[in-house]
Amino acid sequence: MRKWTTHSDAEIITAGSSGNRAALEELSKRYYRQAYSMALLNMRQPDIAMDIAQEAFIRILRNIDRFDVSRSFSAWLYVIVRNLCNNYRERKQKRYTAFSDMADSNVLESRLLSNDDSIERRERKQLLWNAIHRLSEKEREIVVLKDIEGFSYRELAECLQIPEGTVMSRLYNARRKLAAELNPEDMR
Amino acid sequence: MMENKTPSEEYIKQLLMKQVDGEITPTESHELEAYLAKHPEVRRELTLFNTIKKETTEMKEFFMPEMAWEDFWLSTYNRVERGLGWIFLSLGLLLLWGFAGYEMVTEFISADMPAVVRWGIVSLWTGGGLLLLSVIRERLAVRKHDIYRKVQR
Repeated sequence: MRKWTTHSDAEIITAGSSGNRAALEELSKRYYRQAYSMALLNMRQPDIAMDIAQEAFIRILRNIDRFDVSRSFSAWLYVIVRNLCNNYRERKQKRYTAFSDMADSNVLESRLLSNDDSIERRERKQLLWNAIHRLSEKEREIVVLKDIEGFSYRELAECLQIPEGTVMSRLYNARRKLAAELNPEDMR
Repeated sequence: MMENKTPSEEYIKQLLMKQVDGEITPTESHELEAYLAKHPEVRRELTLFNTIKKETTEMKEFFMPEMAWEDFWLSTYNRVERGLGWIFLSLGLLLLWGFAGYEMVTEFISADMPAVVRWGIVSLWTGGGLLLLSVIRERLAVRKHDIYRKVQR
């Protein structure tokens, strides 16, 4: 198990495709938190997010031999998680919209704001959280993937199927809106 | 590239984002620095972007909490195993049910049994068969609307 920790994703996936369980475990270890976080940001409910993250890995384990190792694993994982979230919403016919009405998430929001931060810091977080909610769905998605999930421009372009130039433009517009909400006097 | 003409607004936006996200090349960084020297308002914007980036990134710790990987893996693996378990269980039941049916039919043809038992057996197997067909038909209909049909692999 331990020997895979120093290997690249491509090497691990190649080994995993040949049925190496230790390699698959290492892959899961590297990305399970990211899968959970993607699902949590999308669904806003921890239990559902965990269920979807596990389902995503089941899909990945079953189809690992089909993955093109020249591509980004994170981008593939994101597409699977996003589609599972969409399918879940469709199946349950609940009023969820991907990245769109996260402001309603009282549970998540209270958890985000209920740590040991100072009042000033909590207020600032609340402002940022609200500002992120007010972005368009596409802008919110790209900010979350870039700043929270840590995607590179190449990965964003790959999973959102847009050119890198559009990635940067969209990020610029989103961040400018956030800056205008958080620092209105500086953006005049 | 930049010596003789003013860079486009779009190009500057891209350089700003690359700078904020740490994806800028040394050449691009030099170009941006030259532009910022002439446009202090853009430099202020860059400072704001850096602050926003830092604050948003700090949320990461909340959305990626420490979780016990062993629990996650065990649970995922159990779900895979259970899926396989159900397949084998169903297959076994189907085989045994089919074999029992075959045995019953051969017995039915050869045995000398009262008419009521004979018709009871016919009715039992017809009902079972109909139920099985109904379940299969339903499963096929559900499959058409598979909840995961849109998942790209």
